[in-house]
Amino acid sequence: MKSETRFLLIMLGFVVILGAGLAALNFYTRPPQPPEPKPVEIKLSEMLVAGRPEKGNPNAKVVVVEFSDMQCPSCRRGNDTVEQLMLQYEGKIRVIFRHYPLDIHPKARLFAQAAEAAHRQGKFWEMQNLIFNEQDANEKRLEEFARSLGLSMEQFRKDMKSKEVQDAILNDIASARRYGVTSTPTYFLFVGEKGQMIQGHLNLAAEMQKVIEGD
Amino acid sequence: MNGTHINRVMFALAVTGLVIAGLLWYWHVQNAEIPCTNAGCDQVAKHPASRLFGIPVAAYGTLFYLSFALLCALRPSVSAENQRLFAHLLLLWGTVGFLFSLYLTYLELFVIQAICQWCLASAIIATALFVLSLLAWRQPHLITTPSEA
Repeated sequence: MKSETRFLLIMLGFVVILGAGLAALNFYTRPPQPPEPKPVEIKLSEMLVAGRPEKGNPNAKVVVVEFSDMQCPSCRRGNDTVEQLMLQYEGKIRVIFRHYPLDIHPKARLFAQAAEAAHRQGKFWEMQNLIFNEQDANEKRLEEFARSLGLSMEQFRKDMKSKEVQDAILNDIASARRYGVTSTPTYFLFVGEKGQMIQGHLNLAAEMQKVIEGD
Repeated sequence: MNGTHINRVMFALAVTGLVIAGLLWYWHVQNAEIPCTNAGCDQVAKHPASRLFGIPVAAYGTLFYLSFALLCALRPSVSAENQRLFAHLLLLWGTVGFLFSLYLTYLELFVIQAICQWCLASAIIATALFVLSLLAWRQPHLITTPSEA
């Protein structure tokens, strides 16, 4: 074999091995894919609870019930996805929020209380967005959020510690366990009464597109 | 430009094409967002025409450039007689690649109606390889130094 050939083959081998190596590395280090969405037996009417925060078109055929933990990073990304879908399919979606603060997140319960207290003054989503933007906020910071939203501070402080707020959160947690929610965010996507459970935010946009554009 | 120079340029172009086609193949399989200055790449990659017999077009491209580069790499080591044969093979391969690229560019322009710069780059490389393989065919013997074993 001539040296020219040897040189060219080494060059070619280098490129091929480097490329194949990088592809393999990328393949084996990619994040685990969320489980496939699965149909649920529970009907929408059974899942609706009075007084939960909601947004979008109240008469929409497509309803998303989200179980979320405000200290969880993928819930924050899930929130971005939901907001984007709300814009994309304006008037076609109704979104209902349910709490599922996980024990592994020490501030999740506090965040839920703050958002729930803000909900008592009609500012749930605004408070939620502020918390998602600053997931390490402390109690003092939460009060600053409340003040910036123009809430009555006395009422906010009282509501945060109130039994009604605690009960609303505990009730959501109990529902989540009953519906088989094991991680956050978990979405129940309903078209009419029929629903499916979607774990993680990655599958949400794709499923939403299927149910809305597949109409 | 003597035969050896032509061969080296063809080799370098084929390796460049190999990298482009390999990346496109990988992105296609991963369903990844393709870096692009316009929306054309994703439009092309998601179009049904980006597969032929169920295999991504970029996979054919990868094999094409790989075999072209291999032919160029082996050519200096074969006998004078076989160098002519290799020149014929390169011309044949260059023509196949050129015509296929022409067809793909037609698909992009008139069927998918989007332009992907990566595909365009590959088409330009395939065209250059075709022209060079014509030159190589007219000048099939490489200049080799006798000291080389």
